[in-house]
Amino acid sequence: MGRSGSIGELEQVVLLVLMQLGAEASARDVRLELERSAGRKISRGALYRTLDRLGAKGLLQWQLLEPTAERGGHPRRTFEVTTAGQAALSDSRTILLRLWSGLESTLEEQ
Amino acid sequence: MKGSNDLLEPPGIAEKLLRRRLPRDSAARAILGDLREDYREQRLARHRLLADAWYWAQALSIGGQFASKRDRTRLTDRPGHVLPETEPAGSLVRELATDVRLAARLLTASPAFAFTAIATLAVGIGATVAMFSVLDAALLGTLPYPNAQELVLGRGVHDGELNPSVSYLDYIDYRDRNDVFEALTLFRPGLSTFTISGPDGAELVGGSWVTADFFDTLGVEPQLGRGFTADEAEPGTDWVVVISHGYWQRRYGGSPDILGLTIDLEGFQHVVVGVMPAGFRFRNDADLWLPLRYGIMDTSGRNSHSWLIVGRLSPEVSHEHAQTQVDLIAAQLAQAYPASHERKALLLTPLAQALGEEYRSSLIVLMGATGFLLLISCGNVAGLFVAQAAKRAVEFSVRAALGASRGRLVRQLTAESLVLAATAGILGTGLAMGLQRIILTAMPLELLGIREIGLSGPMLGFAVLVSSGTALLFGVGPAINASHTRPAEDLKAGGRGLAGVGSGRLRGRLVVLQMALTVILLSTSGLLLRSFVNLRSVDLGYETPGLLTAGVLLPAADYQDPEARTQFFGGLVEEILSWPSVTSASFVSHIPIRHRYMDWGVFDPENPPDVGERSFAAYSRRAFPGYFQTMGIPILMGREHEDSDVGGPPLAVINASLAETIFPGQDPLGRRIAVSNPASDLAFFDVIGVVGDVRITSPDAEPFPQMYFGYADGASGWMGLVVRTQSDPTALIGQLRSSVRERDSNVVLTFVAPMTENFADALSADRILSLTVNLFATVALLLATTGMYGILAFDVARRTQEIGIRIALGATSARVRRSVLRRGLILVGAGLAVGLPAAVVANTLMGWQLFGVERTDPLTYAAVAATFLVVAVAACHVPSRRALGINPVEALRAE
Repeated sequence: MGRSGSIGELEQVVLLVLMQLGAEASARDVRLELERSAGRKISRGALYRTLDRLGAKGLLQWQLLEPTAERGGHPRRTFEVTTAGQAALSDSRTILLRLWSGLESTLEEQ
Repeated sequence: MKGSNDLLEPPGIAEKLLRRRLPRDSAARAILGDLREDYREQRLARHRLLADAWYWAQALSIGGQFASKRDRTRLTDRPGHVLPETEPAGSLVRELATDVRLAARLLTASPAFAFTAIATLAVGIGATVAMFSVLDAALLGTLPYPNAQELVLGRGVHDGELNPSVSYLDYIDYRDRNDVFEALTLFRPGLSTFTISGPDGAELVGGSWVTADFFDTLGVEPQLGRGFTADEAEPGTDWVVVISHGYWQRRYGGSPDILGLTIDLEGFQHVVVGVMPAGFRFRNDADLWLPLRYGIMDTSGRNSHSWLIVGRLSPEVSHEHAQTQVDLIAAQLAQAYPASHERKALLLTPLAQALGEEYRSSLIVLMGATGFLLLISCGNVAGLFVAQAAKRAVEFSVRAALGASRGRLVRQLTAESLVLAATAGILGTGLAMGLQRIILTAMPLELLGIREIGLSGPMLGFAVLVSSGTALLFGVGPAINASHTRPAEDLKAGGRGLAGVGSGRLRGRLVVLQMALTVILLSTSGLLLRSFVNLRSVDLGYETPGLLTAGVLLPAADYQDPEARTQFFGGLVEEILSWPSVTSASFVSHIPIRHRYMDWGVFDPENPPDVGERSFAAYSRRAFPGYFQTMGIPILMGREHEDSDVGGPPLAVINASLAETIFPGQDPLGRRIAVSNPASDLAFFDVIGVVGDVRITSPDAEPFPQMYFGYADGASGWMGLVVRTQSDPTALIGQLRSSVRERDSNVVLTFVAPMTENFADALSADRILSLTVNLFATVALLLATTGMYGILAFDVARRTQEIGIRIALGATSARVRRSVLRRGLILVGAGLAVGLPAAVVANTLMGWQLFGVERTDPLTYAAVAATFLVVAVAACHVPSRRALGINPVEALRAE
């Protein structure tokens, strides 16, 4: 497992949300979805940082859409999880499942 | 014009700042776009301020994430391929916190510097904040009445000058003919004294005469019972009284059975119908209020000006509209009574403003003076800062050499000044609380009833503003100055630092600025002092030392007969005259300076004024025989009243001014004067004497025509006693009290005071103003001199080596000394050159009263310049001696 596969918890959640949202998801969509489905409030700064880090690791890619007046002439960025990203998620899931095995009943009782 | 889209623009500065923080690529632009979209949503859902605050918070937070320079430069603009991993960066706030922590550490490392700077600033900030809090309460505060902004004070204007009291009859016309006031009420301006008699003796209380709707107009309901009804002003109804909460507690222990109780007031039974709530007051601390009674008070005669008007404007009526209507009524009155009302008008002023007027000019002068003081303290601290920074030149150079940017150094130094100013601000605000109490003691805001202000929102806001303002004032200049590092030179020069050269120039400018400000303060203080000295030494027209004055009030019920009153006063004078040190004694209706007003129209009946032309006005006083002798007023011609005049024709003594006014160049003796007494139409008096002029209302008011009548129609129930003694007047007070008590225990002394005290009281406001500004000027001089001393001492220290070489090469001590002195004198000269013209302008612009001295008085300015020179040369002395003491060998070895 390469270095690109070791992802943090927030990174993992962001990637999962992106997968759930499908193509053309913007940073804004990610933030709202995070809030809705995971109940997590995350600052914009931290989110942009995470997205950029994931990009740098090659786990996601992004493209620019045409700028609009509403955005003050600034473009919109949409994100997509790369194959490497999907592999990293899958790796991470495998590890988690391995670690979880046998603990379900103990933890669920609590 | 702005479209609706523009209204949804985020705060420009925040966006710009964020843009600079972010990398210059399209990914960053997308972030800005996201934020814009979110901002629009915020804007549509919340108030603009909240949305803006939100945007700022976001910008700071995101900006913080992209804080380090590396982040900004090492980005590519290629999609899918962004940011390198970096170490976690701090937010702007966190960086600032680091700066502040570092600043605090550096300051504790040089405690002497920190202490001096903080103490200097705290004094400046404390004085300014305290003064502001008083100014705010006095001039901008709201009065404790519901909808107080609707209340106006109506004052009489005569010939365009404020002549505040108005007549009762005029009030009735204003009240009945207007439709702009919800209510218009009348009150007696001063506090009247009343005797309340009870089983345990007589007590003197202060009370106020008001019309029935007085409490309604102010919008304050009695706590118990009721206010007055309209018919209670009619003669023949029961006498009623409303008492204050304080008096109710004090005298009746807050008894709930107070309503309906009768109290013996001036010998008449008054029924208590109401108790006002705690804290209610209007202009003075009255303990009771009485309904104005027609026929008993000065209600007849349009020339009997004894009242002031308070009105409550109807809602929706503007102040200007009300004034226009009042002017119209004044014009109608002028038409109806051309002889008396030709030049009369009524001026409406918002009540809060009118009550604050009295203090306005003093407060503004003092505020200006404290502001100057603050500026000078800032100058001083800035000087300290520059010196401190010069010492740290090596440190800065090392940091610059290691890659610290100029902005980074400026930020660090600014953080230090912020820490200093914040500490000084907190200490200064504490100090301000104490100073505020002192200011209020020295300058009581009686009319406004302000005894305590405490910490207020505006005061705290002002303190924050002033503290951060001072930080900018003293911090940023030196910081920018210090950030011009020249690492190579500074490091080579070592601790001696050539950096002192540039900073020396800045410090020089700062000192010149401080000196100029000090010159302004000194000259203002000099002018006020001269004005005060002039006032103190003004020729009043009578002798104040050795004169005792007292007010004697007879209980009205027991002394209804004028004969009885005259007898009591005559008997008392006779007894006093038998006391060993007393040379003369008499009674008069108004004691000069203490009792003002009361002027009547007067003219020469052989030469009456034309219709529409105003008759002359003269102060009217009633004097017992011996009055002029007792006061030391010279009798210039003829004689004064004598006991034998009683029962004869009405006689008058006039003063020189009146004689000159109505009988110019003629012999006034034996002539007749016509007096338009407000109660009757006209009365005629034969002039039997002319006496010297007297300053009768206040020391700064020029003598005015006066006339004195005898007590032919009997003394009034209150008379002023004057006693001339060869010893200390205060020694007579005990004897006077006991002898009055023995004669009649119900007779009350309304006051007893030596004339010198009356005089001092009249000047107390001038004295306080002059003393305070003097104090400020002294502190300013001290600060400016310390500033100059500091710069010279620093200079000498920096030039130790150079001076050492000069001495080694044979420079004479006089020469060395001159070189130090020259620098000092150049600074002083520049300070005076800037300060003196500025002072003349400042003093001319400010509108306070000066007595007997011009604002451009050359003597004052010359004295200021001389004082300044002497002090400055003294300040140069120590550094120049230190320069002389330099040992060339050691100075060179120190290298």
